[in-house]
Order: sequence, then structure tokens, then C-alpha cells
Amino acid sequence: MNSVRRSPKSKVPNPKFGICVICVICGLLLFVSCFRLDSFLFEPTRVTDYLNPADMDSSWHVRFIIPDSLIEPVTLTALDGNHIYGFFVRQPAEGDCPRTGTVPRSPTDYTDGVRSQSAESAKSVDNPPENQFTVIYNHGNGQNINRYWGRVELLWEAGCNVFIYDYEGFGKSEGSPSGNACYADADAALAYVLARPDVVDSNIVYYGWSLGSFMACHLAADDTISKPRCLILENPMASTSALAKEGAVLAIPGSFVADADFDNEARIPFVGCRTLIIYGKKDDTAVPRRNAEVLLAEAQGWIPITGYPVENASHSDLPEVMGYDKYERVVSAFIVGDSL
Amino acid sequence: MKHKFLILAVLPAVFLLAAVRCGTVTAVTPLRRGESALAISVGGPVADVAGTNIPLPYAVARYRYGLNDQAGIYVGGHLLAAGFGLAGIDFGFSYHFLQQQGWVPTVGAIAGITALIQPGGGEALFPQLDLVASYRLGDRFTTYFGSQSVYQFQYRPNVVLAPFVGGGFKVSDPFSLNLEAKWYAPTEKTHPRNVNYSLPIAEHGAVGFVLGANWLFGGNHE
Repeated sequence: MNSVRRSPKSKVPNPKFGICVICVICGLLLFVSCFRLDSFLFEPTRVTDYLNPADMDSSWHVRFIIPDSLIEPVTLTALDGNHIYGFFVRQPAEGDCPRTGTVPRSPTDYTDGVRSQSAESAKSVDNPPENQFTVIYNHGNGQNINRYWGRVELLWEAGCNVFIYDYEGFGKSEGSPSGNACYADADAALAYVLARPDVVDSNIVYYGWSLGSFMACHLAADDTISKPRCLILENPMASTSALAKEGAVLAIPGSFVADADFDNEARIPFVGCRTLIIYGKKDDTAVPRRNAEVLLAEAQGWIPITGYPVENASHSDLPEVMGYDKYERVVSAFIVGDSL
Repeated sequence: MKHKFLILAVLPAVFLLAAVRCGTVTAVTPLRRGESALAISVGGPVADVAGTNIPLPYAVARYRYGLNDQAGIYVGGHLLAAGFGLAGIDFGFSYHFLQQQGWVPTVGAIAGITALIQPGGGEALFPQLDLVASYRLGDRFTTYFGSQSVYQFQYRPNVVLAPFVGGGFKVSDPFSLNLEAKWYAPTEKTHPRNVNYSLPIAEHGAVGFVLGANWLFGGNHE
């Protein structure tokens, strides 16, 4: 500025007006705070019914391979009173007759993870097998359960029960998404799964894809409620701070740009279980490749952690690039405790 | 999902400007003793925002005061940082140790700090050092070049540079405009990065443009 100097005979403008204008603009912007990024973190879509084939995009690779009789719709009540929706997909038990047609999908009511009396009486599996694993699937920032149903099918094919739920504001779930709401929803999901008599508590696996890695890591970092079997993060994000740093080339706290306390870098050293980070080496959506490497570095020396980079995979095509068989083999091997 | 992430990532990138001397260069030429200047500038690196390539509109308002004919002080407010709910300010000191004589340009250094403060939260402080050389071309034009640098100690790169060239035009006696082209973070690869900077040079950094308006007032000579 000031590249041209004023000559001595110039008239002097009144600076007070300009200063006042600047102060007013600054004041307004301070109150508006219009650029918080939380609204950009979530990209939900609403549905009136789940798992309608007409709503499924071909890029989601949904195959509808799970018999309806094994899919249990679930309604949870979050701490703020909003209802959130999910599905518990179980492995066939002895006597099950897969693919026997449509079963009524009336939701089972749960409040803060405590099953209602009717749900209690509906349970038929009292002694779950010791080698039966249950995955709590924390999905990404876009769409709703429909978009992730293909992933549920893969985990089910790998031999796991799967519980998937929509965060508040996603799919049919009430409310609007936020960092705190997502964490509360994840807590409710865990409480629900723990309350099921057909789930072995020590065989619960937390799985998080992309944004869902924050919720999975949140659950795994607090082992006072439950000690999980393991944690699996697929193309995880390190933190909102890492996103900001990546874009700005500067060390900027995540709280500067988002209210959500999304910080896996801080949480991962406190994870109390074996952890697998599986990531695409061509993922440049939000540069989670580097995010994954940041998390691996943060966790080294604190927790037993395994990195599994996948050549040519990007953010959303990891199972497709690996091949379904290999993806399922890697995930199930890690869950069981075998070498990958 | 990618589209939203692009927007998500582009917005924090304005902070690159906050630390690398957002706005136009603070003090291209020295003020006279007792003279004041008020400047407003807007602009930043060109990035792809929802399919459109635009200079990110980082706005800064800055006040300068001439301590003597060589030294001055300044303080500025970052308007877009306020949009994030942050108080963004910068302040510092300028000293011009060479005056234009023949082929020798006016040369100065500007040292300062940019502070981003979140009320009730954290803060980020970035020390900065700028060097600028300028030539006056007649009564109305000035051309200048130099480099800005910002320092950080807990994240690489530890020094973020922004070389620049610019020109100033005196519109009327107290009022002037200037336009700068900057190459932000030239030591850093442009891709892969979660911001789609549109104008890298040799796949490094991001080119941007900043427009400034300046008013001069006060001083002993009046």
C-alpha cells in the first residue's frame, strides 16, 4: 500500500468516516461468524424409507444379498430426544431360512440403548457363539444408510453382524447433524449393541469410514463402557485442524474453522484396542492418505496399530479396487487376529 | 462428497493470506513524520471454488503512522477472519534504509506479527518479515517487488514465502490504488492438496492477486 506519496499541498480527507465504516464492518462480521465450516462437514440426504432399490445409485454397489429375515430395523432415542434409525444385520442362526421373502420392518424401540419389553421378548438368540463378531459401522459424511449398504453387505459376507445407523439429520433420523450429535449418536449405537443378548461384548468391532472415523475413534478411546475387539478406520481423517493445515500450509487449530471436536490425532493414542488403518494411496478427496499417515505416526508407540495402504485406491472405491474377496479377507483376518 | 470437501478446504485456505501478509504490502514507501495512511485491500490466491476460479476475497483494513521519514508503525484488522468468529489483527514496524537514487530503489523491511485469536479459545501467532524494493516512475506510478515470509515452528514448512510484484497509481492527491501479484508458498507442491489452487507455477504454490486502496492524511507538512 501507499505506493504513491501525497504532495504537500493536498487537501486532507476526514479519516473518521472511513474508520467508522471499517469498525462497523468488523463488528458485523464478528457477530455473524458466517464462515464456520460445520455445515460443510455434513452432506446428508433424507429418505422416507430405507433400502428401496429405486433409491440406490449403481456406484454404491448394493447387491441386496442379505435376506430380509436377517435385517432388523432399529429406532434409538438420542440423548436430545431425537429418534435415530439404523439396522442390525445378523448372521444366520441355526434354523434360519435365508431368502424366505420380505419380513415386516417394524422398528424395534430402544431408548438410550435399553430395549423395550416387546423387543426383549422378541429376542430368540440367548447364547451367541463366542466367535461371532459384531461391527458398529460409522458411516461417512454423505447421503444416508442407503449409500453404505453395499459396505454392510461386505462385512456381513465376511461373517460379521453389522449395526449401521444414521446420524441425526441423515436419512430418517431426526434433528440436524453436528459434531456433538454425531458423538452422542455413536454412544447410543454402542449402548444399543451392548444391550443385545446376542452380542458378545468383547467381540464388538468399531468401524469408521472417512468422517465416521471420528465416531469410531471416539468410541474406542473411551474403554470405560466397553473394551472392543478392535478398531478399523477406512480412509480416516486426522482432524479438522489437519484439513485446515493442508489447505492453508499453516498451523491453524481446528477450532478456528469448525465447532465440531473432530480430532483423531488427539484421540488415537488413547484407543484401547488393536487398530487397523486401511487407506487408498490415491485418495485426494481431503488428502486422507496423508491423514492416515498422520494418524499412524501419532499412534506409534502408544497402541498396536497396523497401516494397510492400497495401491490405486481413492476415497470411495477401496473394496472395489482391492476386490471384494481380498477386502473381506483382510478385514476378517484383522478382526480374528490373524496376520494380514 | 468431494464437492463439499472442496468448499470445506478452500475456506480455511484464506488463512494462508492471514499469515502471509494478507492484503497488499504494508509499507512500500515510507510515510513522512506524523503522516497517516488508511488502506483497505482485498484478494488472495486464485482457487477453484465450486467450479469458478476466483482470487479468494481476503479483506484487510490497515492503519499506518510515520514515526519519522524512514520508520513507521502499523496495525491492521482482518475482516474475513472475523467471519470465522476470530479476531484477526496484525501489527508491526517498518524501516526504509535506502531511498531511491538513480538505479538504487527505495528499500525497506517490515517486521510484524499476525495474531488470530478465538474468543474463549486458542490463538495462533505468526511472526513475519517482509522485504520490499520500489521505484517511483513520475508523479503517479510506483512499481515494487519483494518477498514476504511467515514463520511457524510446529508445522512444516517452517518458513512460508510469498514473493510479489506490484504497481501503484495515484488517482488523486490523497488517494491511490495498487495491484499486486503474489506467489504464495512457492516451496510447497500444489497437488495433491485439498484446495484446488488454480494458478501454480511449476506445480508449486499458488498465484494470487490483491487490490488495494489507500488514503493519506495528517503530517507536519500540512
